[in-house]
Amino acid sequence: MSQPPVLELVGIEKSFPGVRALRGVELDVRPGEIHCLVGENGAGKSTLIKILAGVHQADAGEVRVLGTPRHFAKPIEAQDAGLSFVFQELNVVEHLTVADNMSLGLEGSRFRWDRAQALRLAVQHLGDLGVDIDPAIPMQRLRPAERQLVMIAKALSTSAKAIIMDEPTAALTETEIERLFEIVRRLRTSGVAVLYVSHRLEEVFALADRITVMRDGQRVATQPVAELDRSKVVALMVGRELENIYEHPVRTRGEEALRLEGVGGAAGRVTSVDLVVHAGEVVGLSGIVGSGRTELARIVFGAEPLEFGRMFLWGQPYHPATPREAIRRGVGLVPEERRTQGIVGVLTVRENISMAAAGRVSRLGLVNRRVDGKLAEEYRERLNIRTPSVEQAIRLLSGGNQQKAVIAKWLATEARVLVLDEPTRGVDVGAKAEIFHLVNQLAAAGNAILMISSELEEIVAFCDRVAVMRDGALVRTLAGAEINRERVMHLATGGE
Amino acid sequence: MATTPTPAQAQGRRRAGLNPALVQSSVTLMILLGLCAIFAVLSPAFLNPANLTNVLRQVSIVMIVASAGTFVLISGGLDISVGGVLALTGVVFAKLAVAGLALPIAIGGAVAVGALMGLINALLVVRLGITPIIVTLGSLYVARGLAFLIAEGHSVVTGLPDYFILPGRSYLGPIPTPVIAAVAVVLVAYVLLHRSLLGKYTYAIGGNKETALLSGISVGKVQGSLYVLSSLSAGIAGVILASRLGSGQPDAGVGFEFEVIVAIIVGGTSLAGGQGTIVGTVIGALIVAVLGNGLNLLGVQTFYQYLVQGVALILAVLLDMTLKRRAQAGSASRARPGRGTPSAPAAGGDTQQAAKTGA
Repeated sequence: MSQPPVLELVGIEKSFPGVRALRGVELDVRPGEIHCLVGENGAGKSTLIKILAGVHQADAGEVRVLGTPRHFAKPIEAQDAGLSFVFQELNVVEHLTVADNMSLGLEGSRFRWDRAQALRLAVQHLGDLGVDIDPAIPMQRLRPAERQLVMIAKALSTSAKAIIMDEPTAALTETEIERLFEIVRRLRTSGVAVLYVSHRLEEVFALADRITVMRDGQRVATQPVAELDRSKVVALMVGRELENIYEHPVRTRGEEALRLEGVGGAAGRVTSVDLVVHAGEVVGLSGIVGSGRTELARIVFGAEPLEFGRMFLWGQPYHPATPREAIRRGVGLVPEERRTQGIVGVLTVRENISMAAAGRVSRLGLVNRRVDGKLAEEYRERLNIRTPSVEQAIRLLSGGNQQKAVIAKWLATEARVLVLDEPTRGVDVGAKAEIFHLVNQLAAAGNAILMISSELEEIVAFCDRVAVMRDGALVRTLAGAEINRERVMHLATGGE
Repeated sequence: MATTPTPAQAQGRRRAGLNPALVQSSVTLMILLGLCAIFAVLSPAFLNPANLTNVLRQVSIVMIVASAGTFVLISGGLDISVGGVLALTGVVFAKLAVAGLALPIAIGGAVAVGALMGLINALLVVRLGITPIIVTLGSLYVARGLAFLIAEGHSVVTGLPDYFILPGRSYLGPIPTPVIAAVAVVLVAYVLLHRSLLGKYTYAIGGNKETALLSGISVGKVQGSLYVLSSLSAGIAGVILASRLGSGQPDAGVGFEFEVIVAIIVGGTSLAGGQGTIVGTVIGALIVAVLGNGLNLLGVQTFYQYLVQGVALILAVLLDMTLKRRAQAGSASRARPGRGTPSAPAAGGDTQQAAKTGA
């Protein structure tokens, strides 16, 4: 306790247009400490990390490194101050080699591109980590997990005073996670300060000395791990009991809606999937990043080619060559990336809702504004989309309300098979509960729902069956009592 | 590595030998040689040393500017101002020569004007964040307008000293001076792109700007210096062209910017950034030049040549896309049987995939 903190944040404030992302956040990480930062999506963790990294600048407050106030105007300054980062997004340059990625920005020389030295150092640092990757191959040849390991090796190679890891395990398998943990603990022993950001509580409890919980841009607690348990942390994170969110009624399984037989495609990223989804049920699709979940969703929606296997919709052969065909057959996709794939930000809520349902709102190619407006109003009310008007540009809405509008888009097409890819990503807890409520209504009305989610909690608590994918193949479909977090995680990361 | 490579790793090693950029350069080189062979058969004049020298002299100007332009494209940018800068610097060179300045000073002045145009492009793109195509489209017109203003509306011919034709028309032994200049620029560009950190950062910025930024690279400085290099090279080319034409012509090099971009893209550099090589650009420029020369020798009319060039550009991009898709499918089928995960189920799919792509 007598040691001064390596990293200290005092009264950090940050606002973006329309959002107060951080409100007076305090945090300190001591030498030889693993400090875990937890919080729901949108709690402000990533913004905080970006301020530390010099990507964003705080509006108020102070960052101190070893007691000295520092202001990071750009990333290089944070690096020079002895901070090292593993970012949540896989930040790699695909066409450069593993070694060149690892040395990027850390080259010893000022002018020369010394590939040989980069290779030597890469071999050494990957070896320290016990990672078996050839540093001479281009980054694009690596799986997401391998890329993540490379970036971790890079962060460790700088002998930094503090290492900040933002969700470093998102793409890793169980073995790799264990290896990472060993390394993180070794860092602690050698006196490095580790700030570890994660929403996976089992990891947090396996690693942390202290835990800081954030909610709505504020720090709600910082406590030694001994004083906390899972349910306390969860309660602090969401500010209410979890059970209310994942409302899971008894659902009636209707006729077979979608059947996949030996499905493969998307340039080899999906290899063999057998799956049946019935009307009235919610089937979860789980797997680590890069396991082919999203690609499978896109195959079903006609956005990626089906290369082998067969699909059936309501018993009829179904091989959509384009999304247009899928939509015509009554299939809808709420895509993973809401902002780039789900909505057209500059268009109005009304225009977004009726985008895929041209037939209902137009005649001879001309949009009937009155019908269009009525349709949008109807869904605004039904889905409780909070916007001053349906004529508002959709980008001005909150994430949760945008997502509801995306779902409304598919309701407007009268789709009966809905694929939801990360439907609750980046939305707040309240909107999350509303989205689940809505999905329940849809299932009760006889729609078939296939839901992808990285939040295990969500999948486990909400789905009737859970299909687990790994390396492009569906490994196992769990039902009823078989469904639990450990089982799903185990299957997703290489167990049987 | 001290450890014994796993089979998957050995496979990775083997594939590492098949560098996609190398495959692409080899393919474009074969296209170039193929074209040469065809023209050699169809027209006996083609292989005539005088003709080949002529081709090289013609291509040298494009090659100089395309070498620097390759950097800009790899970084994910675009510079279409070079045609205007070419004319402007040619006129400046002529004016300085008429004013009685010594040759090195006249050349230096012209090239400096080129670099200044590049600096303006750089500031507008980097500082103000205006899209490169808009910025350089604007400066294309501005440069050409300045060229006409300085030249007072017509070619600068009267009063040119004797040395004026040296950069464009003289020889060093049997080799035309422009060719020597082009070789020198290509060599410098090669070293900068493939042996210096400027090159590495250029690839990094074009491949993933966010990553480059987060890695502590001064993205703005690197991007800016590439626009300066590009305009500077247009300045060198402007001097050579004016000298070859024997006058500073404000209307010189109309459409030149597109010749440059065609050469770079035919050479395998992607407009999306992150990929490309100097060798590829050299081959690309030669393909375009040989095509033009060969068709001329065969007596094909100019308007057919436009057709051929247009088709050649699109075919080159098509080839590029095909090669990349192959490479991607190859890496996907390799990457799936996960290392570190003892996974059997994927293996079946892998063979299926391999059978499908014929890999």
